[in-house]
Amino acid sequence: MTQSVTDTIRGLLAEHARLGVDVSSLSDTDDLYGAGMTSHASVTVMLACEDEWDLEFPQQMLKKSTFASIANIRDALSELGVDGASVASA
Amino acid sequence: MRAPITAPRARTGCDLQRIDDVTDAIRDFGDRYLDRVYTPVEQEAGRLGGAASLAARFAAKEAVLKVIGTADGVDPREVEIATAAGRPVVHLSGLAATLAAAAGIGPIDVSLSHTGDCALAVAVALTDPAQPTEPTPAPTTEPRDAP
Repeated sequence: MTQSVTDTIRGLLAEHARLGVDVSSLSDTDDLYGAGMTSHASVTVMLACEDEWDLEFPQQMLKKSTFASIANIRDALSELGVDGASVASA
Repeated sequence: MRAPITAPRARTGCDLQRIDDVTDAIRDFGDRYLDRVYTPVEQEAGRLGGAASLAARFAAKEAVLKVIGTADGVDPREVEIATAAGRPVVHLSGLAATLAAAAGIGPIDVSLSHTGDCALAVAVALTDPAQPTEPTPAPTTEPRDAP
């Protein structure tokens, strides 16, 4: 079974976001900054997403809100054309 | 009636950055991390000073963005922390420069420091009184702190 985009995002967050809590305890809409993610960690999460899906976040998407939750990251990936990132298929 | 207060107002920003996080980012993403976050001038400082220097510069970028008031849409490289005569100097470009100008923010000064674990930066600037960013408080005849 193929891993869902959401599961992959959770895996990348576990590896790079330096959260103060277990990623599995977070809902898709929980505030990642509130869970301990720093600005620097959001950069490494962005780079990890770029590596995973072979894409590049354009400058206009370099916003705090883009990486504020799992759902927001998924929405950004959907906007960038990642298969399976839209809410309907997540 | 008192004249409106027109003196420049100070804005400050600060940030703290773990040095190990920068070390790990270099290990995990290499030049992609360096090229996406730091200008060539900053990378040269990192070549000489290591991850601690880069962490201090990242903290300074964040501190400067706190002074400006937003980081949305700003490329990290648009806030460059260079060095002149042994002191860090802020060079803004692109959207960062546009936002700072729109907010009436003058030249931004920064100070950097680090220990073995963390780097710290503080940024300070004066705002142009002709472009107030906060409502001027109504004058009071008897300040609460008056003796």
